Amino acid sequence: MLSADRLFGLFWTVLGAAIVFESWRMDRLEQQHINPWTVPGLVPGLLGIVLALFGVVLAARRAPPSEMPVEQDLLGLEEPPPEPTHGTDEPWRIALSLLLCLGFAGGLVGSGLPFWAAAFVFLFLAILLFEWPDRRAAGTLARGAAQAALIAAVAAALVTLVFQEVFLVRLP
Amino acid sequence: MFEGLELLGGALASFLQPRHIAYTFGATLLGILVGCMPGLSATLAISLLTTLTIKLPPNDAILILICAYVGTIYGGSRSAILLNIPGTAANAAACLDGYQLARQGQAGRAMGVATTGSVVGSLFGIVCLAILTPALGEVALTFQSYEFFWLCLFGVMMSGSITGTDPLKGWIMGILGLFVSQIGQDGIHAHERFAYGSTDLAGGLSLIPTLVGAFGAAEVLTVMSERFSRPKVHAVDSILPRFGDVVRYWRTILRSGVIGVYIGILPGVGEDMAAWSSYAAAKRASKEKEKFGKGSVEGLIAAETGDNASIPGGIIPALALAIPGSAPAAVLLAAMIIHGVRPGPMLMIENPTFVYEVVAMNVYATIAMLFFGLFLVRPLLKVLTVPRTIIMPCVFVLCTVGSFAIAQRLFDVWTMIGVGVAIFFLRRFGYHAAPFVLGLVLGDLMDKSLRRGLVISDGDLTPFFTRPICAVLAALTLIALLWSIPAVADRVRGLFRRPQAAMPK
Repeated sequence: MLSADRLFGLFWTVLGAAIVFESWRMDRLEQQHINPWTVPGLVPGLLGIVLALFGVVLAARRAPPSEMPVEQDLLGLEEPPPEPTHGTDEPWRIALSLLLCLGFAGGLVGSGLPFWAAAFVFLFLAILLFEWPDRRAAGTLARGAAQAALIAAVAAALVTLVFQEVFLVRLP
Repeated sequence: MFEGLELLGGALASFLQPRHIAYTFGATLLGILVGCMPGLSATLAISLLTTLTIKLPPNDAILILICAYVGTIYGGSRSAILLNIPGTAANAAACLDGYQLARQGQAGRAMGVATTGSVVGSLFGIVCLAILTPALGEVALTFQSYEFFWLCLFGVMMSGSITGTDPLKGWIMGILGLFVSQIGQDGIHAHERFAYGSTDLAGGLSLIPTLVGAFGAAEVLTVMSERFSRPKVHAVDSILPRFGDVVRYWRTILRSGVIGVYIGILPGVGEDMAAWSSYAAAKRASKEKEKFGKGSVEGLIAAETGDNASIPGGIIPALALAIPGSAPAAVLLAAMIIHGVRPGPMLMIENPTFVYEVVAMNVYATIAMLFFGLFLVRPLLKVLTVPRTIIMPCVFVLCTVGSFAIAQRLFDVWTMIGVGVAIFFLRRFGYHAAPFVLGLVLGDLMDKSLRRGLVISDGDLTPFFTRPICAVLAALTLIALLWSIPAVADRVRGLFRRPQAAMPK
């Protein structure tokens, strides 16, 4: 974690410096004779300085203050308290999640495809692919695909109808 | 006093129409369902519902949001008790004793205790909301830009200090949130900042899509990246709350209620800290300390009273100062602003009925929570067995539609996914979203307060440090900063520990 902290520290320092630079370059609206204490770049510039400072501290410190969550410290617990998400990460799941979500929100939506169709494709693929290992082990791939298609169709239709007809929202 | 009661009576009566009753029960039920599902938070529920209710009248929309808020925090105790997985971060303390009770075959009793604690905590918080909001609003009328600047900074720094294990990373996220809020037109001269000719960026990053990204898309990506086995839900005995538990632990309930409201009022500190602090205080004061962590009814009731009392507690500063007490309250504040309500010191003068309407909304949400807690426990447990591989993609579709719904801009969808992916990766390195959200919501107010303050004082920084409230807030912010330096914290701790160690046994 420490080497990651160093890299992040460097990143925040550079980002902070860039914000300070851009804030300094920002129009000070002198031709409008505004009060100099209200220049638009003042607060972003100060935030950039603080961010860069924190970045330097993060990169330079020898060790994080504690690995103990505040709650654990407060109660003197031997183990960290449970968290809402505590499963085991799997690299292929991370890659697939990113691919599907970015593909749906950044690609399919707004591409001209009707929303219900885009939602169906996303839901079908997500349900099918994430359940794939368990389904394959159980020998129920075909049933899983049919179930995924049914759930995706119902969910896509429901979301489209509820948003368009009940909440009167125009869909992408 | 009597005017307040009259306004409260009027507000309670105004929500007795069939439409409002349906909204109350529907939104509370939805909140409980969201809360039951680990990974889905109250902040996400309120953000998504804000987008859904955008076309409803303000009071209807805010009623739905408050009911969902109350329902989500309560619903999280279900999975905490039955699965040892907190539905929301606020219910983590409930796992310690709730799950142990479930293992001892008393899951129903544990849920009854959680219901009792939640209802009593919520009612206590509501009384404080009705009394303290007008009082705080009156005090806040004396506040100037200097005080508001410090309140914003204090809130963001506090949130950073108590989130996760590393305050420095929390502060970085807070500063990042404050910076992101500066993108777009500035609040005084409407000058474009960091837009680089983009009309989308000139409008700024919309608050709700950014929040949906931080709490929705990031959560979905996190949960979908993890492998889960299908949960085994414990059998449930009688869920009826026992009156004896309330009578026996009335001191714990009262103490937890006070702690919950107090923590709720503190800017940037959330329901989870309220639950933990109440739990820790109950453990310290209990005659049955040894039972804590092994199925203590007192521990469970303390945690659930604390987190539910902090909901109205968090709404108090949001209404009176426009400074939210927690991340979900921050979204609620944003939703109020979207619906044309202007929270802050002038609220009690411009729109005094609104405060009592919010009190009434909380009362009805609590009634609905009690109803579902008593009569719909078993059917609601079915949701715990629905695989996350089905729920999470559906939630992501809702995040996408919700982000688009506010302004019908594809840019908002990209903001949502961009922020979601960024927070997803940052979380893996110990950076949490709560301080970012606080910074995002408070950034505009902090920006305007600092610049206006400097104009009033003609560039003199002295008033920022010498006015009494400013001095206190500045000192607290400085203490929070210094406390995170291990050498300083260890030395201070040592000062308190040494005399104890020297005491004879």
